[in-house]
Amino acid sequence: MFDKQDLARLLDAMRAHGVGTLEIEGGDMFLRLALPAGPAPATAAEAKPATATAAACSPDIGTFLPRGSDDGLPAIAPGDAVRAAELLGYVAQGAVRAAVTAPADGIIASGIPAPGTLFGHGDPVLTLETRP
Amino acid sequence: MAAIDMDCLLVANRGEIALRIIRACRRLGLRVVCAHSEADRDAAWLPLADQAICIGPAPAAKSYLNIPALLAAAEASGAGLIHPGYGFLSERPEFAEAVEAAGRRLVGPSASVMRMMGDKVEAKRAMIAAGVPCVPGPDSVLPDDPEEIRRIAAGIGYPVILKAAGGGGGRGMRVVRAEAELASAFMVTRQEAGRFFGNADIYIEKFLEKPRHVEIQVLADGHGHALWLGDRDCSMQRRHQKLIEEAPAPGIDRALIAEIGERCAASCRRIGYVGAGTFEFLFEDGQFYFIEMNTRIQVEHPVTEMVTGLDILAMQIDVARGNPLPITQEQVRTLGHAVECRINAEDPDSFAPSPGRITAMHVPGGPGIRVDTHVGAGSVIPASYDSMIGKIIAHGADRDEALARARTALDEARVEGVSTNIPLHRQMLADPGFSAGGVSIHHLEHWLEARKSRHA
Repeated sequence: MFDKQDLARLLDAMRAHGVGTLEIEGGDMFLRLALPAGPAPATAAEAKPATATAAACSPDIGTFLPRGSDDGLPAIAPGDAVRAAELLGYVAQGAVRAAVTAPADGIIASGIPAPGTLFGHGDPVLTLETRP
Repeated sequence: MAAIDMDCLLVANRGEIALRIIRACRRLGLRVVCAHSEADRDAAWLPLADQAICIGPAPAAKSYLNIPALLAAAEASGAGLIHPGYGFLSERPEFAEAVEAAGRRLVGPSASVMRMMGDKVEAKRAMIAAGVPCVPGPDSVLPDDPEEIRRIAAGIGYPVILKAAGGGGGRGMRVVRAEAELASAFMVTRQEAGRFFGNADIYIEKFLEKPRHVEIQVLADGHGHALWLGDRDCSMQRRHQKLIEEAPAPGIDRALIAEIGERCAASCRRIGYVGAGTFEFLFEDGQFYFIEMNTRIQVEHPVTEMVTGLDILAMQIDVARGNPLPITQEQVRTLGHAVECRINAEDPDSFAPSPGRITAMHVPGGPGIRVDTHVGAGSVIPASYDSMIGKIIAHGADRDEALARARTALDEARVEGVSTNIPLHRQMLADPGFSAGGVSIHHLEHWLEARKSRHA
């Protein structure tokens, strides 16, 4: 015999696993549970993992030069995966360039600033989507 | 990097003076770029500029005192003019030199003039040569010979004051009331001067017992013209920090002021001074004694603006751009009286700074009231900088009216979330001594001591 609490637990399990109908038979007992039709709930495996963002900041005052402009490195684009400390571009003061690097592993979530964009000390240059 | 644009000005400062400079640039039609620290990233004055550039972390040494970062900001933005405001780098000759070497122009005098006025002995010598009255005492540093020092002090007459040649702002000074104290006072002051100012030279002057602080505002161009724009009384000070300033100085013969003002303007012409500046004097028994010249705009400039109707900041920038002064001395007129109360985010009793977020704020107004402030509700007062959050300036047809308007404005002013010295100002403006006018530079300290005794 199932009490009310057992039934609630079974229904939760059905929802969590995307099961629409559940039938249990045993002895003289028969139980049929059916959930109303609708969009299948996301399973734990399918649920989008929690994400966070982190900014790659300008280390100095200068104008932006993206990676791949003249340094022989591959260019970067939104959606690219990058590793922590990876070079993303530069802020330049004349011939002197300071590296803008990724603060963590992540995916480039923002657009790439246009070459020549002016940044100050600590200004966010690019945003990364990271997994905590 | 951007080409140098002489119609673009970089503000190398923060707070209310940054906002004041922005306003002057608007008046002159100049593009204005504000350098700021990380602590000021969300500051309310930055959106009022055409551009804002973060130059470094919160500590002033890494941002507002960081000459390479400021020059990098000027280079990146194309700013051909750099305004240092007051404090920070405003009186540092090395900054003036660096700006010039970078092909830009500082809104201020040349490095050599700054250096001359920064050395109190050299400044005194220049003033004596220009006929500006100075405190009795030699225009040279003291020798090492104790006997010679004793002879000089006896010649001046006790009490005397020993001062660091490289000092200022009330630091590096020691009063000597009798010959027996002289030798040890000289040793200690000399050690402090070497440690704090990097210059162990000491000079000696007559110590005035109850002087007032009276100063003359000057403005000079690069075409040999110099004006004096009236006087101010800044005697209401605590630990050499001015709290209330007024223009004109009450109860002083106007003909005497005019004579001193003319000599100040003449000395500007003589030393090739360009820009705004202030000659600071002690005034006692009807005599003026030069103490120092500030080679920058001062916090209290609005009281002079209120009585003259001039935009001193705009004129200061204009002469830095090479333009001649637009008026003559005969066209300088003063009208009425003005008083300024410096509003600090600090405990009104202990004077401890009170950084934090302003949760609510009401700015007073009405006839004759001007409030220069860079903060509002929601603003954060960082702990990294000076605690001044604004100035309430009142103008009236005469001193009584100006004080009455100031009292009403102070009663109306409201700042919540941080403590301010507004309650202290209300009390000071109710003090019969100050209300009568002409108090000495010791009045406020004595008044505070008396208040403490009453509360004890």
